[in-house]
Amino acid sequence: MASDPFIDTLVGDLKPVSARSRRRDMLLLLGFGAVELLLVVLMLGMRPDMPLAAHDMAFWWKLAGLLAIFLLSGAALVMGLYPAGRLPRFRASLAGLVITLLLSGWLIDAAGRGDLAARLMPAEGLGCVLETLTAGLPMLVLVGWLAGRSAPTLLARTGLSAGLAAAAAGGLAFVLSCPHNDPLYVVVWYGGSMALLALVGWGLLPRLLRW
Amino acid sequence: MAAAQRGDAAAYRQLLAALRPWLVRFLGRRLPPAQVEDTVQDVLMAIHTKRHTFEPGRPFLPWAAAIARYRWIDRLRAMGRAPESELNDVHGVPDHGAAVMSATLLTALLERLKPAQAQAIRLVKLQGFSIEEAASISGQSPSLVKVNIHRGLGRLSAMVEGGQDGQ
Repeated sequence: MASDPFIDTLVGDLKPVSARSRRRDMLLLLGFGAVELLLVVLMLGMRPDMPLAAHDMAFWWKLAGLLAIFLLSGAALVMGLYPAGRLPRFRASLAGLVITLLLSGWLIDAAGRGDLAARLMPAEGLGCVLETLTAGLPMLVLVGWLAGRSAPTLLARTGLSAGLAAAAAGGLAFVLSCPHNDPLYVVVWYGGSMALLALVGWGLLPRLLRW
Repeated sequence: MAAAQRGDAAAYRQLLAALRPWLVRFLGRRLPPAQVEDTVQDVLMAIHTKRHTFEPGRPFLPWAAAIARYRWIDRLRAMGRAPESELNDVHGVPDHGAAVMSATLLTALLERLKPAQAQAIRLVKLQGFSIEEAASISGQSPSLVKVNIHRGLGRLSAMVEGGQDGQ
């Protein structure tokens, strides 16, 4: 076989490397999310009406919804960090999940809970958005660190799932401290901050993920 | 690649040497001849620096093809940013107008097929992958790849004969 100088150079530079693993990356994301939740609970404390909230279907709806979005977008993110890796039907699954959450939230809220302004509490809601975004930032930093050691090739899709996973992690971190369960409040403020961070991820992260 | 990750230089040399002609073919169909060699080296370098992202037990070709495609798009972007040089009246190469027109029409026609059919035709008929490789890349079964190629080509023929391209 004829020798190729460029290949010779690469072979000469060969050193053993440990192969990355999607499973390990996913465990890292889950572990990081759990630590974040613990830190927020330690800093802000658990909501005072926790025993009461645990009997409210809306509390479990919020917790399960955030967790499902975090797991789905986290899985898509981890897959996207590898060449040729992508979660099949991610966008369709995400759309299905969002529709399911909206429908189930609407069913839980069918009786309604007072007038719109009182339910939305804009001042608290905006604070909630800010807290969710702030809590999502450490997850974004972790994603950046992981991406630097990876090789994403579908940048927009990976950026979108990174933004969404970070926002869902931020929302989850506050789930035991935030006193609001009202589905309308959750959809508007939690949903708004998630949509915002997902858009940021989709629009800006591809520039940072490029290698 | 799994052996290369453990530091096996002979296996690594064999892998890169086998990959190189495939890369030359893959990129040769997509880039001007003057850009092919540089891009092949770019891809080999990317494969070298990102070899830890290959997971043993998973298929190698889709992994390598994704990196090649990524570097190809990078090269296209760089070409788009590069300053244009003035063209001479005397060209050293034959006119590519007909080939470019055919490629444009083919792309437009493929867009009218179902995505799975267009993908199967692109991979096997245009990019030169085998049925098994195309199945591995696309996630379709080998028999589905064959069916999609057959049906897709049938639809393309019908479109061309029926003059549906219209332009």
